[in-house]
Amino acid sequence: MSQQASVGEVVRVASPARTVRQRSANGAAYTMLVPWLVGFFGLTAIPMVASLYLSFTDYSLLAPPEWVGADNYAYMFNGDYRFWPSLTVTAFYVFVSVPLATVVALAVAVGLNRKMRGIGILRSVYYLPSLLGGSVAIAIMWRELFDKNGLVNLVLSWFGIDGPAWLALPQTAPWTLVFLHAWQFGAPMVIFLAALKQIPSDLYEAAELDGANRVQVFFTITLPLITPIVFFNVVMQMITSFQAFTPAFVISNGTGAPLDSTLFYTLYLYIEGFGNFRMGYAAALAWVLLAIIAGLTALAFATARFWVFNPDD
Amino acid sequence: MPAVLVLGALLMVYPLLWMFSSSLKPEDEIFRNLSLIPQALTFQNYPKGWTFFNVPFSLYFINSFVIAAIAIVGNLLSCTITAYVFARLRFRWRNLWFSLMLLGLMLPHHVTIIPQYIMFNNAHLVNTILPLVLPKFLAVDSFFVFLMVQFIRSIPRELDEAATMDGAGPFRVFVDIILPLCTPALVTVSIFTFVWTWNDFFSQLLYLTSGDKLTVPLALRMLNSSTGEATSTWGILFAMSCLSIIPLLAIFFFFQRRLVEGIATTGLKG
Amino acid sequence: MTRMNKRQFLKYGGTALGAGMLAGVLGPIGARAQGAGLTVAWWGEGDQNKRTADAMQAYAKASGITIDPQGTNFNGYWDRLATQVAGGNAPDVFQVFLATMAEYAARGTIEPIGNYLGSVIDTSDWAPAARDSVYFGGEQYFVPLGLSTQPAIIYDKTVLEGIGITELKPDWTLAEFREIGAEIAEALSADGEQKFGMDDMGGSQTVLEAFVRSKGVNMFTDEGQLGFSKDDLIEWYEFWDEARAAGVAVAPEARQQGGFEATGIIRGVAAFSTAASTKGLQGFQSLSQNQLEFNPWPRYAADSERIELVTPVEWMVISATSDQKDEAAALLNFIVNDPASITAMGISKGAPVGNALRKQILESGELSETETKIYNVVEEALPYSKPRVIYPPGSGPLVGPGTPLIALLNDQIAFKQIAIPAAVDRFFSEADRNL
Repeated sequence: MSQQASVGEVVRVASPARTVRQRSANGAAYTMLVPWLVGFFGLTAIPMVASLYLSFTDYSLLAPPEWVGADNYAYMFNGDYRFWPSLTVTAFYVFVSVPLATVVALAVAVGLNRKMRGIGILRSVYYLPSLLGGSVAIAIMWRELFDKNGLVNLVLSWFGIDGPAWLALPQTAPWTLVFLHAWQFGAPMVIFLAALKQIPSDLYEAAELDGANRVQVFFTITLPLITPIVFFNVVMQMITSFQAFTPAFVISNGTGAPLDSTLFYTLYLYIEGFGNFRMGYAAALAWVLLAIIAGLTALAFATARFWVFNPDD
Repeated sequence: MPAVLVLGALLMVYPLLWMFSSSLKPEDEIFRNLSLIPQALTFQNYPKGWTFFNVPFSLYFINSFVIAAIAIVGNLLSCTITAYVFARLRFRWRNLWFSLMLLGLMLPHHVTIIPQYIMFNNAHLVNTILPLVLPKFLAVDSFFVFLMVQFIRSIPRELDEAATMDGAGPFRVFVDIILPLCTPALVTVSIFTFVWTWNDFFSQLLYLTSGDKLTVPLALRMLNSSTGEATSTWGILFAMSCLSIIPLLAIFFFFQRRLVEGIATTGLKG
Repeated sequence: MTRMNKRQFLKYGGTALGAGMLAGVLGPIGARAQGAGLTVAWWGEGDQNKRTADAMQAYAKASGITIDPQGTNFNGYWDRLATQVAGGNAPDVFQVFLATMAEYAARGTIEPIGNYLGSVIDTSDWAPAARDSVYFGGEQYFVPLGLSTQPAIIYDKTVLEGIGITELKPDWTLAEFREIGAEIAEALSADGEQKFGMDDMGGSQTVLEAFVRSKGVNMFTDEGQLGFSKDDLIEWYEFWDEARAAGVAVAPEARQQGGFEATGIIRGVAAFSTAASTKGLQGFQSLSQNQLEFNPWPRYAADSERIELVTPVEWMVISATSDQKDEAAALLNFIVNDPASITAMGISKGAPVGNALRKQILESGELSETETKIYNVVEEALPYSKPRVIYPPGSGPLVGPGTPLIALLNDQIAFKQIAIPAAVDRFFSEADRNL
């Protein structure tokens, strides 16, 4: 029991005690962090450093790597005719589909956040597309949906629009990937649902007493309180979408066709590393991507203080 | 509002209906008749698929289930405690560690998987499930750590400060205060871990090689016909894909209840 | 304070210790699972995986050797194999194909088998097309698993008969091919919806190979350089560009993504499609109710000779790092030459390489109609077959699987994004860099 008192005291006393407290906090934090530290160094950091090294080598996977200096990076910006198209289509995908999927996910989550008969089934149904993930069935179905005589064009024809064979044209093919992403919003939706449940209900009760309508409640209470989760979803989706692989692999059978218009950056990197036996170059591509994502993530964190709710403030 | 939701649900359920209907069509009808109603109904794809390989398909289900279950335990234990430390404790180099953790998420795994494979191979762990489940106990899924951090930070700090005043150490605060308050987040972690592990193809492909160790996604890929160099098995693929969805739906349906019944008010323990 | 630290330390340290012990306890279990006999890896789809595993099992039973069979799908197979080789954990025996065999052989990952061929592995009855296919750089490496012809030009006989074309001559010419294609396109489009004569094969490396061989050169030279000239490639792209413009070949806007299920024949928009090898008829036929048949790739001109390519599609090799090479060679002999293995494998790797075996199976009456067609086309083509040169290392980005440059340029030409001469220049300069 003596510890109780001491903890309570040191909170308020001056620097010598504070350093002691700090040291003990460090100790507690680092002991609890041991599993993560082991995993981080053993399973994440070492392979990362290894791949950084490999990015300066010619590495076929089949024979030991050979040091080539910055050749891989030089070739990327000067000579590689598939690098820019793959980066462009990936950036398009990220900046269009991430906001779209986030809005859809939040809207559906708010809609599903109610007590109602059969709500569990409804929730499961909305999560369904994400359960199917990158399965072959989705691939075949998506291709048929967006074919010349597919369901999408049928619906468009009701409005007098003559739709193309979406996956045949380099202008329209990337959109099918965006739609696929927007349709598989299950993960952010579930996270939003969980976040909505986290909001103390007394806040809503107070708002109701004040006579606020549902839209007002959403924008004054719900949205501000879940901004940490909005932030999380946007940042995480950006990070994973830049590395999106399965959708493109599934839609184009791993070819990136037509005209490399569905050649996601990671698909290209994979083709180079495993298909063309240039893992050194693939590693260089990966590190350039990391630099891009890290820059954008840092930017997101820098802006967070202006719009993300922080209970510590 | 509910009407819109039900209408949207049709859009969501369409792929499953399509897949199910395709699994009931004879092989030469699947790509000829794209409508949801089979012209010639057959149920043969299900028994044929179940016994298509030299081991029954149920073995793949068991293998997948074991891996997913262990992965959930691992993530629940390791990611939550790590997230708590990052979200609540002040310690030296916290921001540096956190940045490094996020950085680990940004490198495509295709280039780190080779060094990882070499490490597990040197440890003689290839062709066991350990390379797939051991990392989960070491909080390597930074996605979940970050997710939990965001959830924990939204819990009012007064609660754990009060507990701290009462003499609880950081670990006690974590177990008694934080954990019960983030049930929805824990449910989320469980659902995602199950689904993503169940559907994970690449690492299972690399680490599980022997025929009796294969998992559902590995078996499904073997049913995929892409080159046409053999009599195709699309019907069987769709049939087995339908079956493989059932555990996912069941798990989701079971866990999502907890999302509804999650803690409705804070301050229960304060 | 110190007391608290100690207690805390014990508490949290315990958690960590638990994690460590978990690793320690589970570790040995993992280690035990290693080293289970002869590891054999291959890819397959449809019933190929099961049939190959059955052959392995038959051998394990007959020889008493333990075999760890590792079958998987095509794409996954290559990712895993490269990873295994990188990790120094290559399977003792593994399967290879045209686009990658030289990559593996050139880097010393494959054991030369000159001392096994003709002794442990009996080659006495093999068709010449099989015997020719074991070399890379003058050394013997590859054990052929079966024979097919490449490419496969598949046509929809039901559709052709429907418009009055009852027979295709096996020694037809390129001009006749185009003409018949035009006839089909016109007849099928009569009801208003535009259809075509043939798929756009301009991006298919196996069809390009047949084209340049019909002009008397191979795709690659023995030195690993391109075997054809810029003029050959210009002529090739011009043929398809004209065919697309004339509505004979499927227009780029009318294509579908996917594998063989997205071809013109299966979607009913064209009557000629191509598969990598004649084994591909199985996939096509299983999705179609029409009668599908082969015809060889046409001769270049009226006075050109008929040139066919009978070849294995899959080979198996022994890993250079295997410590059971003799056992591996004995297994390969069984796989290729033993009737028990051939019975288990069926047609999954093509027609058997042994002449007597092929005859025996054909006469056994156990083959389906489609399988009989695949056998017959091999027998028919054998007299016209000339060996190819194995694709050299670095050829993957040019003519390998996925979207190789040859296909990307064909698409760019189709979408009018590049002129043909510029495309050909691009191809040759990339070839200079890669080969």
